Amino acid sequence: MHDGISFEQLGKRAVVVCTEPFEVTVKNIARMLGLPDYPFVMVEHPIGSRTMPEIEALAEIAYDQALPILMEG
Amino acid sequence: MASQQARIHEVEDDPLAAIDYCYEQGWTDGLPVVPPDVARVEAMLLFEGRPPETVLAAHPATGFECTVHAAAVNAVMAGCKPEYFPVVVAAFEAMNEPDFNFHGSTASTGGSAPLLVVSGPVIDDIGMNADVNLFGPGNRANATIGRAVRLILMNVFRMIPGVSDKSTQGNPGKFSFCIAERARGNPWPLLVEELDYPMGVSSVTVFAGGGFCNVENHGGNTPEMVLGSIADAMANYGCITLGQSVVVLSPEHVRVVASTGWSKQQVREFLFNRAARTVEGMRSVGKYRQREFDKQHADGASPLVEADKMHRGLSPDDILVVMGGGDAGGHSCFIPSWSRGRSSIMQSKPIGVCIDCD
Repeated sequence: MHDGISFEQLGKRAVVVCTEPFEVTVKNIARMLGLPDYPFVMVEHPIGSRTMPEIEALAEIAYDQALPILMEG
Repeated sequence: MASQQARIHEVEDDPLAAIDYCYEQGWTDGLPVVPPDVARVEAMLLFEGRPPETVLAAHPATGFECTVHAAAVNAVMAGCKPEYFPVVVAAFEAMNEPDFNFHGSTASTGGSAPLLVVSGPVIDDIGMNADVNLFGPGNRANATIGRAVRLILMNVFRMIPGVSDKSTQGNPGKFSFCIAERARGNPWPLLVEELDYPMGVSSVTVFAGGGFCNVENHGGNTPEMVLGSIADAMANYGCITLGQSVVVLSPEHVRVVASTGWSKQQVREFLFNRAARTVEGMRSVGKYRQREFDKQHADGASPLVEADKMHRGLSPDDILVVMGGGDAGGHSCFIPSWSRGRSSIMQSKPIGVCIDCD
């Protein structure tokens, strides 16, 4: 989240992706950095132990969530 | 983000009520704290020459800063005597080095705790324990210095369990994880001497530790036997990574190893070479990563790296070896790293003095 907000502050569009157990952490960082409503993408946990087809399926979900965030300015 | 402003909290004139007040404010690690009354905080500050508003460390992700004053308040709450405070200060100066990565190591699911290894004359000066029951409990300095580190992480840097500290299981060292290197009967140069600090200076080394692994070996009577069992612990599939290691050898094990003339460097080299798994074995548990293999086997790799193996760490220099514990018992320990690679590198600082400062 910190990296995503840093990019935004530098004028670069960014989208943050986290897994569900980190929702509270990501929101906490956004609040501390002064952007409590900063949108982000959330997918199922975990990532590391998934097969490539499973990862590709998660990426599709993330893409669908990310697109409006990136397009809506 | 600015440092949190110090302010006075008024409570009724009753120590138990003050302890309860600290609980209500969320200032504890679950155990009662010493209420940080003004006189105790001021006594703590007398052991640090810099102004109270001096920033000791800054959190890169949130911008929170820890001032000397905030550290002193938390040291009081942890139960520190004022003379312990320079160790706490030096520990945070070490953790503030970028290569330590104290945000990652304190926020991660890995459950890391900063292990403090203190070396030098300060150990006797303030009554730290380097001897029997090294990792505690029972010694006020060891227990409260380590606890102060945790309270500062929680209260100043707001590393709150479940919110900003996402440790999956944590580890008991997250209450306190502070030891002293034993000088008595130690045949090798002390850690502070290896750091090449001036005579009379003490040091604290901070390592993002991922737990504690006891290594029992009462039958081994050669260096290879004793160190072979430690290397096996270092290479267990649950722990083996490219991360650094801390090995605390018991005096009984040190006597076996050093009696044949082995130096500490030889110990490190033996452990690095033997703390290894085959590529096939790493694949069998899903922990083989080509990029890690390539990093370990790149040009300039340690000559002790074997072609078909993954070793723990990158070289013998990634293994900190100190002696500690009581005279009796074939029990050493290995402290695995939180970092699975180079995400956190242990850091050392002199205690109470400034060497090569600007």
